[in-house]
Amino acid sequence: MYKNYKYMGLVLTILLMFSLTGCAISDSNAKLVPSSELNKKETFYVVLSKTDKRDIANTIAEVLTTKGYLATSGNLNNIPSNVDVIVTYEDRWMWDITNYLIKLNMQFRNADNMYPYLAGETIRTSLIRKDVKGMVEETINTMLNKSREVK
Amino acid sequence: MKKEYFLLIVLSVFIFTGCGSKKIQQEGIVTNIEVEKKFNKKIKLIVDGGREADVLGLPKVSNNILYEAVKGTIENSNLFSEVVENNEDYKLELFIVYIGQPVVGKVFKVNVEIAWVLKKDNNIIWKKSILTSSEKSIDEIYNGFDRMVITTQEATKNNIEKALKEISFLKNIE
Repeated sequence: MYKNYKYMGLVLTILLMFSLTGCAISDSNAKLVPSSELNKKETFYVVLSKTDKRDIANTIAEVLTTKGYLATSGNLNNIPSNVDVIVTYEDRWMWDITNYLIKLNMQFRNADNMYPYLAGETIRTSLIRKDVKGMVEETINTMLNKSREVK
Repeated sequence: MKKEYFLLIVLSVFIFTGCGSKKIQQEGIVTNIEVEKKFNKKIKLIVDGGREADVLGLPKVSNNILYEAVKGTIENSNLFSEVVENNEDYKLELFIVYIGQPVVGKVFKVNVEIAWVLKKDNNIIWKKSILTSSEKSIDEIYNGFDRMVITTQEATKNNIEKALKEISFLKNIE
């Protein structure tokens, strides 16, 4: 019985160290790509990432729509001819009791040549995790704020 | 028991903080490429968008490392006669758009996108954003941190190779 208490102390110490080595980290940043241009940004097309099993492309399109833009999503082969901005993204996941989106990279590109105009990234670790929609909103807000800085 | 207890604490610190010995270095990125043409022109490099690590501590490519890696590759392949700080004939601007890295997994796939712009007298003569990847499994490199470093270096090296090869095919450099 006494031995078990000793081991419990050990387990608690390890758990404490795990929690103190940084489970609440967040960052959201965006950068404008030099020598790039985007004359209009009214219509967006979100290209479904090849590795995305959760259709985050659709969530990105929904969030852009709530912000007043015309946005649709789909495969790379089906890009409509009348869009101004192509959105690409990369989602990275982590497991801590449940799966969660730890990192989301997103790029706004000129639809004429796919050249990137804005690149954004949001990182959130387990304790301050957000659902996919929350991560998408945070990334898009950061990117749009950055975009307004140059106006 | 005290000894075992101490050993376990040390071990757990290593497990949770990652005891990888490597860091991203230009030596792991710089390469020698076969070029189509060699230009007897001086070039200036400008690199931006890089950083040493993100908030998770994942190693990224800094501006300085990328600068030195591109400089070394140009010098090795003699694509341009000289990399200079001033009085250049051409200017090559690089911007790291993003470096996509996994956080966990047996197989690490790293994507690197760099926007490349070649200018002559501040006029753009070639512009391309290049996305390259590299993949390494736990069987190839056991230590996760080292695997991340090597995969990131390789994806960056692939990007430099692809861009400089394309530049070597340009016909509007005289």
